[in-house]
Amino acid sequence: MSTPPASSPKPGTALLALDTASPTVSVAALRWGADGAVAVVAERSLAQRRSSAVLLRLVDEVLREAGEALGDLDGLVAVRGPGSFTGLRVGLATVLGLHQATALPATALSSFEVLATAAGAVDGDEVLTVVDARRGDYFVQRYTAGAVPVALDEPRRMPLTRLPDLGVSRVVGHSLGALRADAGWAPGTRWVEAGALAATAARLVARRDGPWDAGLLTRPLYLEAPAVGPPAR
Amino acid sequence: MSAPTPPLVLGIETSCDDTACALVDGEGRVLASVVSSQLAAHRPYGGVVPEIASREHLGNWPEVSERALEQAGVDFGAVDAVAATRGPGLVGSLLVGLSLGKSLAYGLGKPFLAVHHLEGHLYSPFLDAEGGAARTAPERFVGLVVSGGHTSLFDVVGGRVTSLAETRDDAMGEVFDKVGKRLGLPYPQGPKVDALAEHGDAGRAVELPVASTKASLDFSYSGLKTSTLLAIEALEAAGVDTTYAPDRDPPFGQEVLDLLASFRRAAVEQVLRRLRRLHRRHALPLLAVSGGAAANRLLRRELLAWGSDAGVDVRLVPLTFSGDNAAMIAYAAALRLARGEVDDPLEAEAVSRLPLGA
Repeated sequence: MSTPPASSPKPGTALLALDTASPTVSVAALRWGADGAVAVVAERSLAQRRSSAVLLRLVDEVLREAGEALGDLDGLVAVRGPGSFTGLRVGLATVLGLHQATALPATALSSFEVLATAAGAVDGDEVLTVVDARRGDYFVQRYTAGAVPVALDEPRRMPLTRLPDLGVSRVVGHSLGALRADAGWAPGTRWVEAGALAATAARLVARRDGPWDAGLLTRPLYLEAPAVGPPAR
Repeated sequence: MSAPTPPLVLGIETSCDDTACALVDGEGRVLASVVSSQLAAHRPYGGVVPEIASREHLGNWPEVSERALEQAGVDFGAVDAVAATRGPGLVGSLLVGLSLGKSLAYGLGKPFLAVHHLEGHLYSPFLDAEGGAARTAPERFVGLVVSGGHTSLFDVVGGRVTSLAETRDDAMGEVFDKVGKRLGLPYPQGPKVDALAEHGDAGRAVELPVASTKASLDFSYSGLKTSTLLAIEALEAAGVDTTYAPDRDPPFGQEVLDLLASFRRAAVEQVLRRLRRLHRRHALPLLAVSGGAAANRLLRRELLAWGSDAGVDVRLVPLTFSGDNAAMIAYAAALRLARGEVDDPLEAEAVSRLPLGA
C-alpha cells in the first residue's frame, strides 16, 4: 500500500460529494479558499431509508446553499461502500449521471478510507474502520491515521467477537453500540461515531487532488455475493 | 440519415433484466436503440435474480449509453430531454435507471420525464424498425400488452389511458416460461416453447381449457398452467420421455411438441376471445399489440387473421421493439413532451407496483 502525497487543496477548488453508503446519507458542497482552508461548506444529511427518492433534491439544495453552479465545480465524489446495496447504486448512479452530463472529473472512495479520515486520530496511530455487515459480522480495514490515511490491510469480513483481537485502540464507524458492548475490548479503546461523511470524503479527495477515476462509479464495494435462492421450482 | 428533428429524447429502461438506452427524435425516429441483455448472468438460476439484475444495470450503463450515442452520432450535449422508466418493475433495477435519468437531466439542465413501463409498450407498435418516423397513433386505439409480466388491455383516447382488462394471476408470457421450465428448457423459456410449438399439432394432443372470466374481460392463465403441467405429468406416467435433449432436433418427442402446440393454442385463444367480446361491445378502430409475448408466432398470425376478418386495423409491434427496450420509453416521453408534460427530476420516485389507467 503506497502513501499518496498529501497536500493542501488548490485554492478555489470546489467539490460536490455524496455518501449513500452510510446509515446517515449525506451530500456536501465545499469550496476551498486561497489559504487552503475550507471557505464554503453546505451539507445535508438524513437517514438511509427513503433517501433514494430525495437524493437529487439534496444535491440541488446543497448547491444552492453553497452558491455553486454544478458546471463550475472541479469534481464529483461518491462513496462506493460497503453499505446498503441499493443505497450504493443510487448514489453512484446519481454521480455517474452528473458526470456524464457535465464531463466533470469524478471518483468514488471506499467507506473505509473516509471513515479513517474521520477518525480524528493522531498522525501515525492505528485505527480500525468498521462497517456493519449484519448478523454479528463487520467489514473492517485497518489504517494508519494522517491527513491522507494509509491502509494497512485489505477489507475483510470478521465476526464481532474477533475484532478485539486485532489490538487496535481506536475504532471508527457508525452505530458502534453493539461493538462496544462486547467484553473483549482493551480498556481505553477509543470509539469514534462517524456521523455524516460526505464533507470528509470531499476533504480527502481535495487533499490528494484525486485520483480521479470515474470507472469506480460502476464498481460498488459490495463485499458480498448477491443473495440468490436455489432455482425456484 | 438526415439531421434529427428536435426534441431529441434519450430514453433509459432498466425495469427488469435488460439495460437499455435509446435516442428518439421529435418525429419518433429511433436513431439508436441499445439493449444489453443479462441472459448469461441469470441463466444459471433459471430466471431473473433481482440483486444480480441491479448490479448488472449499473455496470452496463456506461457502455450501453455510449453505444447509443455513437449509433445516433450525437453526444450528451445534443439531448433535449431525458426519460427513464419509473415503474412497474424490480425496484432495485428501476432505481438504477431512474437515478441515472434524473441526474443526467439535472446535469444537462434539460426536461425529465418519468415514464410508465406499459405506456412505453403501448406506443411501441407505432415505431418504425428501419429508423423511419413513427406512425401517428390515432386519437383512439386499444392496446394489448402481453409479456412475461403483463397481460393487459387498455383504451387510449388522446393520450389518456384507461385499463380495460388485466390478468388476475399469471401473465401470458410467464406461463410459457413456467411450462418451458418444467420441461427443463433454459431461460428464457417462453420464446423456445413458442418455437417448439410450431412443430406440434394441437389437434393430436389433449385439449387444454381456455379460461373464462365470466362477463369480465380480464385474463387468467394459472388454470392453463396447471392443466399443462398435469398433462406433462400424464405423458410421463404413460411412459413418454419428456427429457429435454438439446443436441437433438427437435429436442423433444412428438407427443411433447403436440402438447406444447395445444398449450399455445389455448393461451392464444384466450386473447382472441377477449378481443372478440370487446369488439362486439365497442367496435375497435385499431388494435396495437406490444410486449415480449407479442413476438409469439401463433399470436401474431391469429391476430392478423382476426383483424382482417373483423375489419380491425391490427398493428403488431416490430419484433425489435417487442421485448423491453428504451426506444419505447423515449417515444412515450416524446409524445408526452409534445403535450407539454414534464416531470420534476427532484421528485420522481421508482415504484415497483404501478397500475396504469386504473
